Amino acid sequence: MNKNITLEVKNITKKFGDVIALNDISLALEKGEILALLGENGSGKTSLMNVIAGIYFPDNGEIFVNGEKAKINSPKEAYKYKIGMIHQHYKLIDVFTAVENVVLGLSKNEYRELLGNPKAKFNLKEAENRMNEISAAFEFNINPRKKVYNMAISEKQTLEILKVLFRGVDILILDEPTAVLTPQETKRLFKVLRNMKEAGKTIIIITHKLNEVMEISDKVAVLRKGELIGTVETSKTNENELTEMMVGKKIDLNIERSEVKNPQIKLLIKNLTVRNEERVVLSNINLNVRSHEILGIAGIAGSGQKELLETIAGLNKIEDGEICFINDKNEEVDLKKLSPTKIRNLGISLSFVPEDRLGMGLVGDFNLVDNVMLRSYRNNSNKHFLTTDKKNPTNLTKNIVEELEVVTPNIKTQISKLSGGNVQKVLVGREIASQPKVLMAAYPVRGLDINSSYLIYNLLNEQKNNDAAVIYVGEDLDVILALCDKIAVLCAGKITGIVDARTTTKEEIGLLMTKNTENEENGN
Amino acid sequence: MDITNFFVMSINLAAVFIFGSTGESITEKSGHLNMGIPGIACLGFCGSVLGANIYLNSGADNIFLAYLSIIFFALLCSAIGGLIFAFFTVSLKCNQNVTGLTLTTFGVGINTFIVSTIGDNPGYSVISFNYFQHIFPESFFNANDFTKLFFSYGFLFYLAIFLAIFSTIFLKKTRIGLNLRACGENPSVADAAGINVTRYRYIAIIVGAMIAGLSGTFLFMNHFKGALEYDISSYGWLAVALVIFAMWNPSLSIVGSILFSLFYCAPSYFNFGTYGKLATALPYLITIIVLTITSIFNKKEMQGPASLGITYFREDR
Amino acid sequence: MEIKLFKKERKPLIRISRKANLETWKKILIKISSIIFALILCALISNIIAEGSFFTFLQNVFVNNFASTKRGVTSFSLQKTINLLWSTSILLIITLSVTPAFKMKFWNIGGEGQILMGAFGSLIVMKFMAPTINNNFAVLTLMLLFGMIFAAIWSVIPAIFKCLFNTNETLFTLMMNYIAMAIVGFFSYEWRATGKTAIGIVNEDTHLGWIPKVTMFDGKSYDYVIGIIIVIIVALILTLYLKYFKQGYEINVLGGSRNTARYIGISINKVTIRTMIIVGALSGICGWLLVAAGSHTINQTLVNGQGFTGVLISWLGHFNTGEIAIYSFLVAFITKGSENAASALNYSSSVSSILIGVFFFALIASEFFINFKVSLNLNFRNGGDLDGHN
Repeated sequence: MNKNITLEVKNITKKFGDVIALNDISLALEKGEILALLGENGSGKTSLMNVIAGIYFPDNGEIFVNGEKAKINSPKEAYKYKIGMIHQHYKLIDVFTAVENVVLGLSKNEYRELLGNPKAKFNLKEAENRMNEISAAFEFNINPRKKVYNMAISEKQTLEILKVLFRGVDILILDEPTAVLTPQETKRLFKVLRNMKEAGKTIIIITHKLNEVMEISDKVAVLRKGELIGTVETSKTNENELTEMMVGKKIDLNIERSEVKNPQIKLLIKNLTVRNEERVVLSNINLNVRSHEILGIAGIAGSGQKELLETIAGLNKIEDGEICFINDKNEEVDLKKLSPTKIRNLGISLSFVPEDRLGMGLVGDFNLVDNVMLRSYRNNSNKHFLTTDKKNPTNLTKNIVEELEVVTPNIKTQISKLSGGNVQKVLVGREIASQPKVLMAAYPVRGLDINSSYLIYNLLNEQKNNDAAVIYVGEDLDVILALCDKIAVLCAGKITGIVDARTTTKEEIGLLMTKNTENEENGN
Repeated sequence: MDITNFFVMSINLAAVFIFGSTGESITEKSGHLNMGIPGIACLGFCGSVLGANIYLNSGADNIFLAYLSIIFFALLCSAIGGLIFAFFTVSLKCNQNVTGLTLTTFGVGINTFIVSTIGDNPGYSVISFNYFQHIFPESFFNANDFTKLFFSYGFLFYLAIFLAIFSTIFLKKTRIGLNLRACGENPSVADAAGINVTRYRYIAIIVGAMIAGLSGTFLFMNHFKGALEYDISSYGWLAVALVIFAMWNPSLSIVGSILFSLFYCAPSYFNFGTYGKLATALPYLITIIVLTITSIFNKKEMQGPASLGITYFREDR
Repeated sequence: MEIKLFKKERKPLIRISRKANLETWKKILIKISSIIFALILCALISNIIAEGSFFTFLQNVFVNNFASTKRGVTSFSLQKTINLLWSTSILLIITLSVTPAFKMKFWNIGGEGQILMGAFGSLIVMKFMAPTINNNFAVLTLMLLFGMIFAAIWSVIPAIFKCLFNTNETLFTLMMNYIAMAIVGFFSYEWRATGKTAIGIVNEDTHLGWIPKVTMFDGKSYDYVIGIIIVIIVALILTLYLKYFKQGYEINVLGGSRNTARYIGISINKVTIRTMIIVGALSGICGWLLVAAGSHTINQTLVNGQGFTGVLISWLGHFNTGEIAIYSFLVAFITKGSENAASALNYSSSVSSILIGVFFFALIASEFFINFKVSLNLNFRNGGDLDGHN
């Protein structure tokens, strides 16, 4: 056995109900290696690392650290094995300083153990000194007295890394560390990682950015749908090969796709730039959305799809550029200054399924009818001027339940009691029912079974045939390829390509999804 | 009209608010908002009455025993009140505001009942005069205006100041204080760091209640000078408001408490003519002004603990 | 996904987890059990205070609220029953006046002060304008109007500050309570009756601004009857408003999910202010009733802490008129009952505060049993994680 193997997992299996998140995964890591864990959303990368970091308990399988069998029941126990994980959502307290966050939860004895000095003093000053030592060793730049809420995202990330180094870890796991960094910050992070590698630390970096994989890693392990597809040495592979491992061969879906007849431009997006609190999320977007066409937006999660649709719906501030809607009289309507309500009244409808399904567009405590009524409650139909007209929404709800086969005891059930998929059907059904001119559907089939998914696809097709312009954002490339007419690919807030769905290939899209335009200057 | 006397009287009363807001600051730093503080002050009050009664019945004549008995029962009753609140809001995860208001109703009732059952006793004012009202000898503090201003108070007053300053230091500079504040800012982060959020919150709530209960003791022995009162909840509410005024910093609450007391006592001391009764609204008006000002300046440190009032349940998404 | 952490190596013995929604009949069962439990506990407490009074207490609560005993004969007393219904109605309207705010998650605990200001407005009409108008119906109407306006102003101020500066409404409204009491205390003294220190009963001779008595089927005339009917009507109107009106719907959306409300285009500020005006109007009606039907005077303790009780009842009743009505009745029932018991058994009537506290604690605790389940981990072999799967 290779004495240098610092971390090994054997036959790890993890199920969540019926879903198999990890299926018999075995991996080995050598000391001083940087392993990139590559895969699409839902491939199991984070689940596997959560097992190693003590957050999940595997149903099957074993973990060995430095040859010893390890039982890791909690993150604190993971530290005992010198394993530490830096998550995507940082666990920091905003109003504390850096050093306060680092020492939080550490007892005097634990600190002394770490330093190997039973007489070591444990106060903030000593901790600051130790922090500065570590920073110097790995070339960070952190001010221990700075408050977290004053820090930029990359500083917070450095702080998280410092936190685990402070606890003496040898194996670091980073979950999508560059997702929120500018190219400069990414360069700096990589320098730090290389320093750590020289110092003998082992690093696992979860990512789906191919160029970064090629740049920083020694080995790549590719996961797809819970299976380990393969482990290769970075120097011996290339982006194309990795892409194929990541997305696999094309699957033939029998999604009905009608021909595009007489498309008219409905939305003109010109040079659109959008910024949120932390950074630029959309950069110089140029796109035409046409009626009688389904436009798919492909891209890795977090590339700006959600933000694009939200901006069109009027929920985000436009920093630069414009969005114009072409109405029935062929006039250009500038959406920039309109409120979300006015935009909706024009016929632009957004059906967005967030991670917490009941987040936007629904009220968990309401029943189905009251939720469906959210769109239309202001109508003065049936002589209802002050009161709410429940008759129309009730009929609509009945239709939605019937057509989309929503599983519910009745239409007066509280919507939070329905399963996620059924909640989604109501949401999508409601939006489609308003006969929109531009229908935007983001992740409409997330978590749905095959039959329900097909119901939704057919609905979208129907809308397209009714002369609506449809924008579809989804996670499954196969679906996008089968359902859409045109596909725009987003990567890091930019459009990397617009292709014809009928003639493109999965590989082409995969490459566009991970293409990062080189040589950015001054982080956007 | 002696201005020094006015100040002395007001500063004396301030101890009530200092106890209350220091105790509640500790509780709120851990993340729970205890609106039962007025009730707990009542429990402290009736505990003190109980203690005084027991002391008088024992026939002893010893300053230490007097203090011991009175403070012990005050702390005991307040701790029970705190325990009830902690149990309902931490373990049973009930709504904090509702539990707090119920506790206030409950506490006022218990106080009224026990005090009316035990009844008045001339001995109370004797104890108050002999032991509680002044800790320094009269010849010393009555020497001039300066000594009067600083040294004419009782033991409990100086205890209040000490507790306020000690709490501030404890919260800011010790490791336990850091962990406690983490519980109030972001309990899931504290939890992930291995801190036992439940335990910290229980202790903070109970300790906070005990300190707040001493405000009842002070009212009994120092402010009312041994006379019995039934509804002291208005003092409690002001203490709750003071926590915000002091931005959750017990040392600052000393300043705020004195300010409030000045406004509270002014109507009875100065002749506002017919507007005297109207002037009783002053402390509350000042609180509103301060509330508004702190809201306008949205600086992060001036806001309370980020998770204040939110019940933490690890499994919630 | 959430983390499940174990202390050191031990696995926790007691595991608390959320229940999936319970069937309605089970919820009702838990509630009724906790009410019965609370009543027994109250009787026990009474027993401790006054030896052997367990059953006397219960008798006072259940029987003496509706009947009176004369010369050993207990018979139904319409007067007592009406008194009980009146106490219930006052609690009901107080609770209803805070409920719209709570439905939008605007934690207004200023009921005490808002109602007081409403009473104040009514009283001003009663004292200063009544003599010139000299028509009871007109006076009463004007009193109601003034009451509603005064209370609405008092309610809308915290709302405006919340919208402009995001001030904490709980503390703001709390402070407004005391300011209201100071104002009332001041004017009560300013306008004092000759030779007295307070305003005293107003229009005792002319009965201007007094809601008239009603002759019931037994031939006698009773106070409060009209007041009770008015409260019932107001309760119905409010229920309809919240359930069927567009504005009521908007309140519910805002309380359900702020994000959704924003997304749908509901103006949070507009709804907040509008709702607080309604809260004010309702408080005004309540204040008017207290003055016109109740004590015909005003003083600082007119509302007597019931503003806070209303907050509790509103929350326990899940902001739902039907439940609120039931709890208002129960609270009045237990309060009056324990006051009866206290005078019969010769102990302080402050015991009723203690008993109401016990009652509320029992109901609060019952919420826990409805929402959570407790299981013992005796055989927790596999660790596992608690993210709802599995």
